[in-house]
Formats: sequence, structure tokens, C-alpha cells
Amino acid sequence: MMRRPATLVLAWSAALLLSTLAASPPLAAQAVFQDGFEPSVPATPRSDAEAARFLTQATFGPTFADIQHLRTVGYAAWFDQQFNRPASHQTPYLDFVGAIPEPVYSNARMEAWWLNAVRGEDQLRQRVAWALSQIFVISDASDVIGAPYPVAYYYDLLIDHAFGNYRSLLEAVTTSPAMGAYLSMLGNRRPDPALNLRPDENYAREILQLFSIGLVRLNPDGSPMLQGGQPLPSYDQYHIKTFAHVFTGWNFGNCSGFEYCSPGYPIAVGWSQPMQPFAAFHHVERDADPDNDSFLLGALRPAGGTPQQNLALALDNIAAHPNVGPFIARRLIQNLVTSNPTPAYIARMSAVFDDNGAGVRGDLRALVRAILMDNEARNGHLLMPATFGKVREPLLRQTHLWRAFNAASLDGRYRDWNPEFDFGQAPNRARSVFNFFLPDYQPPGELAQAGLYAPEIQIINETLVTRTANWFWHAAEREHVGSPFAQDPDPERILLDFRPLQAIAGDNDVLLDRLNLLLMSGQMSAQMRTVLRTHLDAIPYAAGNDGGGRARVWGAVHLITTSPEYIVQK
Amino acid sequence: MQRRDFLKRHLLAALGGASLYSQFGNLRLLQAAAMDSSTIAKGGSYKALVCVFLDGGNDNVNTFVPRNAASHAQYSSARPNLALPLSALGPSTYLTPVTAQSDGREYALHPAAPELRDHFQAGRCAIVANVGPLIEPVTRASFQAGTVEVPPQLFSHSDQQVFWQTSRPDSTRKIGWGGRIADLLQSQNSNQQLSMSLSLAGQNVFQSGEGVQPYSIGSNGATQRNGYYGDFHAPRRAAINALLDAPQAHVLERAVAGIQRRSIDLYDLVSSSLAGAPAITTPTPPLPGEYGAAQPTYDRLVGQLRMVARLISARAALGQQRQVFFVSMGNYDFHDRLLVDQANHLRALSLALDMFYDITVELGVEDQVTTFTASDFGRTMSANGDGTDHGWGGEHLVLGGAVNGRDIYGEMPDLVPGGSQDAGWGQIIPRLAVDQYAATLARWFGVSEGNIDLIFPGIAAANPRFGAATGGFIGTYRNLGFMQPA
Repeated sequence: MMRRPATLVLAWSAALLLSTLAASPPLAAQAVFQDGFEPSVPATPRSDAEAARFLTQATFGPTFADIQHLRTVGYAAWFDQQFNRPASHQTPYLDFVGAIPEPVYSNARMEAWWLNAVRGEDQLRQRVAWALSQIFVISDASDVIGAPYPVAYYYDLLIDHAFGNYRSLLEAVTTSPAMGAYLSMLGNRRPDPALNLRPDENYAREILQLFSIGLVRLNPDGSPMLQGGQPLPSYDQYHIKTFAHVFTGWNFGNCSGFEYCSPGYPIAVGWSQPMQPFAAFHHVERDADPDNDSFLLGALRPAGGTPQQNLALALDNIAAHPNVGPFIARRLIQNLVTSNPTPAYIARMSAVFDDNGAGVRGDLRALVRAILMDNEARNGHLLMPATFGKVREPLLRQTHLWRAFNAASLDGRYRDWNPEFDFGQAPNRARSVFNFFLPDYQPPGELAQAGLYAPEIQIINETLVTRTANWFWHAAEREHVGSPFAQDPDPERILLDFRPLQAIAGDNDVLLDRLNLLLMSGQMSAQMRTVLRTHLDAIPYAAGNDGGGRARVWGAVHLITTSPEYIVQK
Repeated sequence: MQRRDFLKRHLLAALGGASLYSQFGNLRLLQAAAMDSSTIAKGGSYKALVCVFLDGGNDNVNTFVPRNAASHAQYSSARPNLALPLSALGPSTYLTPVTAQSDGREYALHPAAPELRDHFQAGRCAIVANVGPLIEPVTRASFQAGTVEVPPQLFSHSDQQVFWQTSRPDSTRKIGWGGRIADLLQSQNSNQQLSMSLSLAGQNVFQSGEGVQPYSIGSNGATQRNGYYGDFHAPRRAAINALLDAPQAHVLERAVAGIQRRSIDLYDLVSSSLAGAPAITTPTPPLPGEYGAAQPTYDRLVGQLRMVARLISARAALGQQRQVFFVSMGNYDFHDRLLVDQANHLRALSLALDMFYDITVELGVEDQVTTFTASDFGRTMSANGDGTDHGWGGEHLVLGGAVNGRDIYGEMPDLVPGGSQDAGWGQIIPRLAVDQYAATLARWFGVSEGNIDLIFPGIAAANPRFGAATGGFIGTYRNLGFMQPA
């Protein structure tokens, strides 16, 4: 029997690790509270700006109408409406394109994503699905799943489980053929000693590292558990091996046999249904060495059982691990609200994950609501004005612009197929299962020295930052209704509608107030406002063809959407 | 610029957020830069290091293939359904190193990489055997007993990439060894605005220094900011500058503004320097149709390497006597379809590196540019079906006119499941540390012996954890010997 290593981690500076893994150090309360203001979470946004700020976190960007609606109904009713709206999916759009008929390429999947993000009434569900797609990552940058339908079916699964239970989501992800193909559980088979073949460890490793518990044991507040001053690993190679053995025997659901199994032709129906188990290719034996049958936290894999039973036991074991709450909560917080949540914020969310108040563990609906309604989400910009928030994802800057100014093409489609070229980011096109950026990415320099994270900066660099800025310049200057560059637009051209802004652009203060609300949740600094005001005042407001405030409007939109103050969502 | 001025600049840089140097450089490194006695003469000989990172973890066992009967039999029994048959390893794939491996083991290079094999045979390419992140020498027994220090979270992609790029598995600070080299040598470049760390693959740990951070450039060169230049845009330019240069109150705003500022400030220098350099005439070889699945990967790699070549060609205008490049090539995570996918990838790699070497000849810098590979990890010697899993040690290639080529540095691993070099699950225990590999390159590049200790403390003279007895390598534990003297 092989002896289990006492620990794989011996020489790691605990102090450094603490500064790396723990959330940002709490900042002292700021002078803003000296006048007696106490941060609290009201039932209804107290201002348009508060409403816009909430919608920036919870949707693909606030619109003027959504701001008014939220102020009218209040947070609770808004959540109820969002939780109950029918889900918008991607696959019906692919069917629509195919029925035109047009060939259905990955382009169609991109169009479906834009349509749901920009026009979907189920904004919160879509926004959470987008966050989940960056935790449970698959990518068509891998030629394993280069076709659009497998990815669309997978994304629809995330949409359907966005307000469901984590345990169900984990099983749906695990048995998805797209995930199976991406992380090689599909076709994974029991050991064959004659060929020195052992089960593929890919899915076993990534489900633990990325989809559930992470590398080290966590306290409920997200800080690492220490043993002898060192972080305690969550799992070791024996666990990987055990789960790899459990995840054997699965293949496409349409096949009659395990070997030579394909998703089907001409209609690849196998991608549309969960993988199915084949008992003959599933590892059921217990090993003489209990280390080789180790579930997490000392549990042992039972002998025998069917592939389904063993999968259920494995996923139960993972989903019950106390790391899942802080691990998943931190990722969702980072995607929706702030890159550097305080330990207390993570701890509150861990508690909600562990028990939604009705004794249910893993209720994502409750978790999402709690994340967005937490005092830190609602007031973090007042509590920690120098560090709270996150760098906006470039894609979400685009959806924000498009939603705020009602971008549309005449035929209703959003043919923007390769945002990764300008943004370094496109849905389900990450370079690997580690997503576009890592949750623990610390840009070298001031942020790393302060122990702060800024995941999204990992895809910003000297080249992309200017490409992205140029996209916004181009969209603002040229791609709007009435632009001299779009006088005879083809029906596919996606145009912003600046006319409501042009109508108020005679007064630069009024114009800036509106833009500050829609784009910056009222958080524009006085200094920035002075720069913009000076710039706009030098642009004459004139009626007529190129007048009507057009130059002022696009000029202001371009400056704001490329400014450091805007790029950081606070 | 005098070194005293350079130091002052570092310290003054703390006042502004958009400098080449971050505000809080490590004083020891900065002082070392100021004190370094092994200065590179200004305008003196030029050198470049090109790191080609194979994302995902290459399968080394099928790249450097045992070919004599005994070792091939061992290899075939370790991975019966994945082993390349002897019949696929003709004489044109044979590696005949100057120094024989122990036990008479002989190797071939994967048949999809004939150009790299020819560079090896011609003495321009070396193989470094079984290297990986280590803190101290590891045996199977000490690893399994848990009595040896090893990097945490072995076999995880993200972690082992960081270990490779930092060579500091005992530190969670993600300061790369390319960045530490740049910290030491940046002051020697005549231009102090542009970082000597030039990335063709975006942000990366390898080039993240204490003080010097990489400049990222795309395969098409630097990007010009629209709506910014010329008289017509003068008011907009003033507004953009005012927004970027404002004293941002938020730490993330400062970081974002700094990147934007560098992008704009360096555009003129980089674009005019590139435009002024002569066109490169070496053509891009076509990827044969049967390897077409790797075409996008090949195109990205070739695009990156050709821009590296253009930046080398423009070095005088850029004011750079030293350049460190970072290039990446994706999708080496061969859990599935190893035989097909790896052949495609290695075909692309071999053609692209051969093209790049030819360009360095065209530019007359083949003795001054050293290209080397790195990867997350090697893969398991055993198979999981039609692929292999995350491993540990692996072989790497070093290519260029300054390489002591046609040799294998270090001892190639035994491929015996459960044997002395199997960590336990088919992962191969490395015999050489990344520090040793990196230090050998850094010394050639101009880092002094004393500063080798500073940036690679794992092999500092005072801390000789990796004794010469570690393996069969040719040099010393501090200098593996695959590079000619600096």
C-alpha cells in the first residue's frame, strides 16, 4: 500500500498566502459618514443613481426605463419579476437561423448571446448565466466542440439552472456532452491494466479546482484554513484518482454502444441530451488500498453500484463540501459586484449558500439575491471608495452602451461575430477552462503590493486597451441613427439611438446629468465632469444636419466610455 | 542615462501611476541594477531571449522518443496504445548527441518535427532533459513519504504555469524570472520608456517584474488610438489626456489609466520604429494540408514570431540592446487524441521555429537570439485512453547560434510505471530545476554571477540544494552548459 504523503505543501509562506487568498484588508470607514449617514439597504432605490448602480450589477446595463421601473416597484418586486420571467434560450435562435435557411455557424451563437443580453427581458437570469459560464467554462476555441449547437445547448443549461440548486447545476454540467467532450469525461473508461490505461483525470481535476471547492480548504469567509501555519490542501492525487475512476463509462446519449459512439448524423442529436452511462465501461471495484477510493473529507467510495449511483454519490460528496459556499460565492461576487469582497461579505454569502433560510443548501436564487442586496454591494462604494468595485468586462461595456441607447439593426439581428478581436473576450471562447482571466489575478505593481485582485485586467494590455477604445470611438461617432456615416444603412447595421440625448444636448449640464446616470450611476467625479463640460462647451449646438447636438452627444459618449472612471464599475 | 539617474527615476516613479516602472519596486533588485558591475556596454552587443510557452503541458514522452530496442520496449510497455512504433522513427528522426545518455539510451525527435531535428544535428539546438519546478531534489520515496519540499498544488495547470514562469515555487508572489532579468538589465537599454519585456501573448507572469512590466503588442504591431491625433482632434486629445492624467482616487482606475497611457505614449515610438525597419523577406512556410487542424494555432504562432522578428529588426530605433519576448502556443493539453493532435502541433511548432531561425539569419542576429520552450508540465508516462494526464518533469528545446547544440543536457527519465522516477501516478519526477534552466539562459543574457544568486535564490551558491550529483548533466548545478559564454 502506498503511503499517502503527509502533505503536499510544506514550504509556503503563510503570511504571503494570506495576503493573496484572503479578501482585501478592510478599509477604515470613510469621512463620508461623519455627518451621521449610516449605510443601509432601503426597500426601494433612493435615487435614480442608486437604481442605475444596482442595475449595472444585476443586468447587462441600465436603461432609463428600467431605472424608472425599479424605482417604482422596489427591489423585492423586481427580484420576483426577474425570477419568474420565462427564460430566453440560444438554441431556438440557432433553429431560426437554420430555417431561413442560412448555415448555422458559431456566428449564430454569438448573435443569440447578444440578443439575449441586450434584449432579453430575463436580464438577471441572463446575467447570472453569463457569470456561470465563466466558472463552468467550456469553449469553442477548442476544436473538440467547434460547432455552435453543442455550446448553445450547454449555455441554455446554465440559463435554466441560474436560479436553481447548485447540486442540480453540478450534475447537469457534469453530464453535459459539451462539458464531457471539453474535459474528456465523455468516453472515459475503466482501467485496462494490460494497456497500462487508467481513467482520464481531466474532469476530476477541474471539477474540484474550478467548479466547486478550489485548491485549499477555506473558512466560511474565504480565507484559507491553516495547519501548522500552512494552507491545508482541499484534495490530493488520491482524490483525483478516485473521482477519475467514478467518472468512467459515460458517452453520448444517442448511442447504442460505448465504443464508436458519435453524436449522430445528419442531426447530431447526441449534443442535445445528457450523456448516458454504460456500466460495462464503468469502474466499480473497490481497491485494496482505501487511499484509492477516497472521496473528500475522509469519505470512502462504496463498492459496486451503477454509474448513475456512483456519480450521484460523488457529486453529493463534492457539493456538500464546506468550501463550496465561500468558493462559489466569491466568484459570483467578483463577477457581479466587486473584485475584492471583504471576508465578512463572503461569510454572509457562505451562510446563505449553506442554508437559504428554509434549510436548503445551494439555492442559487437565494444566493444571487443576497449577493446583490448585501450592504456591501449596495454601499461598498461609500464604505471603501478607493478600492470597491471591479473593472468592467469589455463585453459588458458593449452591452451597456447598446442597452442604454437602444442599439438595433433594422432586421433585429446583432451580427457582431468576433468581439474577441477588439476585447480579448467572447462568450464561450476562452483559451482554456481557466476562463479569460483568473479570479486571483493581481496586476503587478500597486495592486499586487496591496494584495488586491483585478481579474479583468488580465485581458487588458497596451494593444487591446486601444483596440477596445477604438471600438467605442467607432460606435459612438459612426454607428448611430442620423450619423453621416450611416445615411443609407443596410438592414444589418447595428445603430445606437442618440436622439433622446440630442434633444437635451442644448444644455450640457442636462446632457451630462443623463449620461452620468445611464453610464456611471451618478458617480462621475467633479474633476471628470469639468473636463467633459469644458470639452462640450467648445462644441457649438446647432440645429440641422450635423447639428441637433449630435457632435456633443457622440463626443461625450466616446470620452466617457473610454475613461478610467467609467471602466471601473463602483 | 546614468545608473544613478535610473535609480532616482525609480523612486520618483512612485509619484505617478503611468510610469514604465511600478511604484513599489523591490529595492534589493533596484539597488542591484544600480550596482551591477557586469554592465552591458551601451550600444554594445545585442541579445534577445524568446520564450515560447506551450500552453497546456506538452507530452514530452512522445516528443523525445526512445529508439534503441531496450528503451523503446520500456516506453512501449508504459503506454502501449500511444507509443510511436519503431517503424515510424526512421533515421531522419534520430538524435545523435555528442554526449551519450547513460545505459546507451538513444532518442528520436517526433517525426513531425524534422526541422528541429536538423537544427539539433547541426549543433544549433539543445535538449534539456527532465526539467521542472523543484525546491529540492526529490525521489519517489521522499515524495511519497512527504519528507521533501515540493511546490504546492503540483499537477494543476494554473499553478505549474506560475511555477515555471517564476521559478520560485516557494513564493506566492507572481514575479517572473523574465521580469526579474528585466529589472536588472532594463537600465542598460538606451531607451528607458519602452520595457525590454515585450509580450506577444498579453499579460503573463514570466515577464512580470518587481519594477519592469511587459509591454504587450499584437501580431499586427501597435494600435493607434482613433480620434486622438491631428489638429482636428486636438480638443478631444486634450480631454482624453486630462481624463487619463487626472489623479484618480481609485486604485483600479490608476491601473487602467496606466495601461492606456503607455499604449498611447509608446505608439509613436513602436510604430515608427517598425515602419522604418526593412521588410523581412523570409517567407512563412505553408502548413501541409494533413496537419490543417493546427492551422489556426500555426497562424497565431507565426504571427507572433514574425512580429518578434520585426521588433528585433527595429531594435536600434527602439533603443533596445536587450529584449525578452514572450510568445505562446495553445492547446497542448492532450487528454484526448494525443497521437493526432500532437503531430499537428509539433509540425506547426517545428515549421514556425525553423522560419524564425531563418529570419534571425536574414537579420544577421542568429548568434544573438536564443529561443527556448517552456510549458505547464510534462505529461504522465501512462495513458488514460487516447491521451495523457498532467505530469511534472519534461524536456525542453533551446535554439540559436549561441547554443551548445547537438546535446542532451541532463538525464532522460526512465519510463517505468511504478519505477524510481514515477512520482506515483505516472508523473515523472524532474531531475533538473527550472532555476537551473533559467539561470543558464540568464547568464548568457548578461546577468552577473552575483545577481544569478539574487534572482534564483534556489540555486544560490550559498544554498547549493541541487548538487552536481543530481543528474547526468554536463555543466554545473548553476550552469547547465547549454549556452556559450556571455
